Amino acid sequence: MKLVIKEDETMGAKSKKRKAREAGLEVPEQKVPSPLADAKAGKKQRNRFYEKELGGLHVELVKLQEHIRRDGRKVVVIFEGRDAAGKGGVIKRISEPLNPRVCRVVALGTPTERQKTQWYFQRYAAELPAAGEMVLFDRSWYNRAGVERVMGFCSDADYWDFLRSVSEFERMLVRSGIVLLKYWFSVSDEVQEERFRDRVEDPTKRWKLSPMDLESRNKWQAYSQAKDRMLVHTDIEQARWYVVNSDDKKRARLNCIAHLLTQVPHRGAAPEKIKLPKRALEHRGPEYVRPPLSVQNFVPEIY
Amino acid sequence: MNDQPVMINVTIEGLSATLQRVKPGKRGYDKARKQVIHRERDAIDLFNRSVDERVPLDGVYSFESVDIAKTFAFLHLKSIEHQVANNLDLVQAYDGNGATAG
Repeated sequence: MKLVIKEDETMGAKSKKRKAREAGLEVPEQKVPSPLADAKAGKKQRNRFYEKELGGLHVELVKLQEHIRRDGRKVVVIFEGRDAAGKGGVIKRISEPLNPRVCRVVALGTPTERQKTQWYFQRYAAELPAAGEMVLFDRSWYNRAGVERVMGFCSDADYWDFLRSVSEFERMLVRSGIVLLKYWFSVSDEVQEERFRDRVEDPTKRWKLSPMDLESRNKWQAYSQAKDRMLVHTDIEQARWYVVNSDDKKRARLNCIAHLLTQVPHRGAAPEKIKLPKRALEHRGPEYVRPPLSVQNFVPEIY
Repeated sequence: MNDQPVMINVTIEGLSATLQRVKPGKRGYDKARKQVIHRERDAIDLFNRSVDERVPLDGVYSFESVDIAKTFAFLHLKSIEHQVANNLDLVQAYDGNGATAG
């Protein structure tokens, strides 16, 4: 259910927003005038804007981290989408300014033979956060409704059972106090093809391409149908799907992070200022003599 | 050889959904063929429209594919389940202070 702000003629726009935020209501975000959305903007201008905005969002992410840590919140963010949709990029930008003890990335590989015999959600449940943690799932239990379905890695019965159970599983997570956010990264056919080509040509990106990715390229329509079905079956009030248009990677990153920050209220949660105290004099006492450098194995200084 | 496709009928009546195969030449086949929903997108749109307009889905719907028929029936049944689950949440969270819950 969407909550709305009760209009009051005497209130200004700013105070309306403040009051709404204080009441925990949804406040429509204003569009930022962005060179990223301007086709005439130059590459330099776009990059400068992107870096500046990302820096600001990183500060907010640190505040969010502090809020999660201090208040013992549990946050799960799921990133789904086709190959080369930009999931990894946004996960990297979210996790880079954060403490890995608070923010953890989970990207599970193919299940082992043992895991295949377990309850489907079991290996994911093992990765869920404790109090004061945020877990970013780079692909998740939704594998079953996407790649597994399209590539025929699960039976028909397994697939329908997943569609039947997933909402209840997620409701249980939310009831247990987990904030669950689900993002679908939407990329067009042409842009995905371009990114695949880029991965083929760039040796530092080639590892991102698996034979499975190449095979799934030929199943665009089947993936589209699977995605449509998945979104309509699993978009529940307790855990909504949010679609990120990711044809432009940088815009997608900023939009996703900005949205994520609005989903977990964290106002005034910046880490407290610390004054670095003077060091005690005895820290360089006479008892300690540094061993000769020749006894240690140094890395060659070739730069 | 008869190459007409088998139809899958979904009958929605209140809280229930029933799936039934209708073979070519059998009773009701022609009617099913006439009103068949071919694409999953259309089945989803039909369901969404009924939710938006608050119109009950009660009736018989025909599909060419089992998957689409199951999707349609699932959406109907799951929406009932969601309503019950949301109601349960409200009842569970009720501490006796508010006038009502659920």
